[in-house]
Amino acid sequence: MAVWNVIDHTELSSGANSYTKSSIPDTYDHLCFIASARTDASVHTDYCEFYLNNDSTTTKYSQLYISSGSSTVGSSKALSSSATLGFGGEVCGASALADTFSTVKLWIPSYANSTNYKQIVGEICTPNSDTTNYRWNTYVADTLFLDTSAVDQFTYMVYGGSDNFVQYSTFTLYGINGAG
Amino acid sequence: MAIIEAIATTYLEADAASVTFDDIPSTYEHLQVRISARDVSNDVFESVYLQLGDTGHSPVDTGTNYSRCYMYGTSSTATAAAQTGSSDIWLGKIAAATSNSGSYGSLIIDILDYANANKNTSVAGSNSSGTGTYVRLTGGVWDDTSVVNAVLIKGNGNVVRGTEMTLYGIKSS
Repeated sequence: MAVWNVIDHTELSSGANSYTKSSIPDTYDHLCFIASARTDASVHTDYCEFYLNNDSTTTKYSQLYISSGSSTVGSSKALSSSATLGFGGEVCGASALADTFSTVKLWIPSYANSTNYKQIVGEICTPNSDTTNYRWNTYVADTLFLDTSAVDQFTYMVYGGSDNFVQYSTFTLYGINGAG
Repeated sequence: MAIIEAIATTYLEADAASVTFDDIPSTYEHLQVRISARDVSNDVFESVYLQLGDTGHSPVDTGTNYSRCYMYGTSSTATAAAQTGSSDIWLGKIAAATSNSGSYGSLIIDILDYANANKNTSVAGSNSSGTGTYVRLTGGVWDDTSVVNAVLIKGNGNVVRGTEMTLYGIKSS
């Protein structure tokens, strides 16, 4: 039995505000989402969010991260304890170094468990040739989804409705098996 | 069909200035390098770096075409910085000669969409020095849209015998 399995892979041929995979099978132990993403917003870094099970309206998400964008590390910064979205980091915007895409990695352990809340842990890196404060960043981000339902839908999106991920952004969702 | 495949493993039988993975096939979506390494330099820990190459650079680009950003914590501080016009991506620190003799630093480096000629190649690296005193997350970019076919990892001094590095390919279909 393969340990890593590709559930879905998408490379954008044109701009899109979000990536969604629905009908995620419950047959794996964990999910891993890897994205190479850039947006068309006229900024160096652009906020992204995610939500599970098509739930983006109820305050079920608790967000926490440490981050950099200047010489000061935002140590254990509590972003929100009652958010309607999970935290997806900041990715390269249109003002960042041309052709440069951020790295995004999110893990969703025990996503099919129907007893526990879901914990999502991620690393997001946005390098840039402009080293001015807050025109680059690194994040270690955590979101607690206060819902015991099994996860069968995942959406990663640019925050705000008018910005889009650009062409050549890629999104891959992996299902990870344990032993037995 | 395996989604993750080991492309190559290097286990150093003698100290070496660097480890190079060359002639990397372009058939994967992403690459990942997993490293257990130690440096010979007379310090507690020393820096480790990455360079990338393509058919136009043999084996890697040593020009000032890299940008990098990072945050790290030590036993007493947490800080962050970014640099551009660098000749490599500084990934972090690994245990060196004056640390405990059995200590090796660890790194996991993701190199995303390395074969996509429409984008620069971005990397993310997680690092622990193996000394209990340094942990780090690094992002970096090679300002070149060429298809990557070589990855070089080097220490500040030589990396020691017993250092091990494995290059994995991760598929997307």
